[in-house]
Amino acid sequence: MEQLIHKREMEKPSSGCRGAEAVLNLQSNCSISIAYHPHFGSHNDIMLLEIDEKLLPDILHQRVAIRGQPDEDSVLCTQSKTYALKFVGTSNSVFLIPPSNYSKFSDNTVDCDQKDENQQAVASVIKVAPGSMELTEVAPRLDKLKLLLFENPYRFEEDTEMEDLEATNRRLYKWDDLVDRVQASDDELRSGLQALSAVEIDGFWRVVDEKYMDMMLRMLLHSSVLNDWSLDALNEDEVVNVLQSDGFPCKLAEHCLHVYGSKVNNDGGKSCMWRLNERKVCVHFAREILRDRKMKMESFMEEWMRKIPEGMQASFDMLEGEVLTEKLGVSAWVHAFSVSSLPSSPGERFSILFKERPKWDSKDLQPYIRDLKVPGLSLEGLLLKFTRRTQPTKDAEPVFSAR
Amino acid sequence: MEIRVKCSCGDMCPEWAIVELQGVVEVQPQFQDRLQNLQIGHLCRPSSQEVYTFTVGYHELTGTKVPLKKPLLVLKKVKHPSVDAADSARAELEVIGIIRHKILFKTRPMALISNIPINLIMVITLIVSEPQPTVKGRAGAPDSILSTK
Repeated sequence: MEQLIHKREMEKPSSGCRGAEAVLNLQSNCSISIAYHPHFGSHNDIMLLEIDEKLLPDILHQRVAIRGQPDEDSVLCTQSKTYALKFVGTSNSVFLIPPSNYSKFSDNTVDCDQKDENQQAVASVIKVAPGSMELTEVAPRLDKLKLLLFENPYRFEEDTEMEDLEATNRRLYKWDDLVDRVQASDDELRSGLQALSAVEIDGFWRVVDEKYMDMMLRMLLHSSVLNDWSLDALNEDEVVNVLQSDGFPCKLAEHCLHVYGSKVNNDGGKSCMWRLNERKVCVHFAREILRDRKMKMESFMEEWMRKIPEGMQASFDMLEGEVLTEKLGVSAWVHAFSVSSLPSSPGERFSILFKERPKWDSKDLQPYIRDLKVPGLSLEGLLLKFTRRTQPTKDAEPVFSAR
Repeated sequence: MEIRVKCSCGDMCPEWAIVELQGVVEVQPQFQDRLQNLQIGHLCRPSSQEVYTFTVGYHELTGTKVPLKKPLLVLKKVKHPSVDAADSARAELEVIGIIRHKILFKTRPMALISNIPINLIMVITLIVSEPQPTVKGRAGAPDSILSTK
């Protein structure tokens, strides 16, 4: 009996306005009228975004944002990843039908009540969508972060000249300023700051001038000789105290340990223990020696060895990605060429690499490209895309040149 | 600038629907300016299968209900009255719905030969030569996404 009534009602569709649910749950042998919504219009403020099912929780729990400046193409950032936004248009007519109870257009029910009762079910189209946005995972655009921070590195003068700080304040960036300007997710931005050895000073993220870092490191090494400290077990409080008495702010003294050392497990003591990283210290001195000049290999090695603190062992392998060797006549010359100074977009990176050197063998090239990250493209893929690979004979090492 | 994507529906996003057809539905010129409440056509499900017909004017389309490979979110720009004047661009995108299915009509329309009175307001103009061309382009800056063109 009940079924029969149900059936009768379906044959003669019930009255009133209905929305998306009536379309999606349309029963067999039923029909529904599709009409323009009382508020039909272009509604440019309503857009469609195609999204991977696995990103849905991030969206529903409000962990995503769109970032970019007016002159940049927008990206969508989750906590850990960056996606390019692309608009994909369609020439089909895409009728968008909201659910009936969608509150923003709710006066629609009033409209329906006014109509006669024999009117059949209606689903209303609020707009015709011209297309939708799609997401493609991309590498974070961190070169801009480098650019912003190097506008104004932390220098000696700031320790003393307080009045100048006001003037330079305009070009300093807090975390929120960086989020506003750099197209990267929070996680990527944080690791970008770490890769640049940036430090938060008075709320502003800064890189510290190399000469300043050099001065602090030398002071630290000098003090460890004077105080008979082991470079494998430096007491944070003692180091910071000594550096502070030499005029370095506490925050920067701590930063010095972060940049050149790593924390050692604390055996229940009150103060943190640090071990200086041999490679980082040795690379620092090589960079200092080769700043703005080319040197003969022998004289470089001689000077480098002299500068390395006692107890540390320098080896030339440490300098891959930092120093390039070239043969000029019978002698080898070295000069600084640091991977950290190169852009992170593959196109620009390869262009600069081939400007530096028209031909690269694989062993030399590796350190300068292995940090490149392009979602969906392997290092092999990058080489195929941006280089020409030649191999004079079967057994010979391949050589890469510009395409 | 940063535009947060807000969602107040939690895990229960209201589902919207799409009815999609090839080509353009055109309205007789005299109705051009008052589309509101105007009927476009009739959506029918003749059997228990997920097959649908859509009757627009004297044309009938046959299509199916298809699940989307990836869901579409319906986003709406929300502008907040800014507290301080320098911060005028404070905007958010609010998730107002999700689309998981569409009723897709990709066939050419069949002319209805009928003696019943039909609605002659709507005409489907089909783009026959190009079966679903898409235009890919960059989405532009965040403020252009949000601008009301």
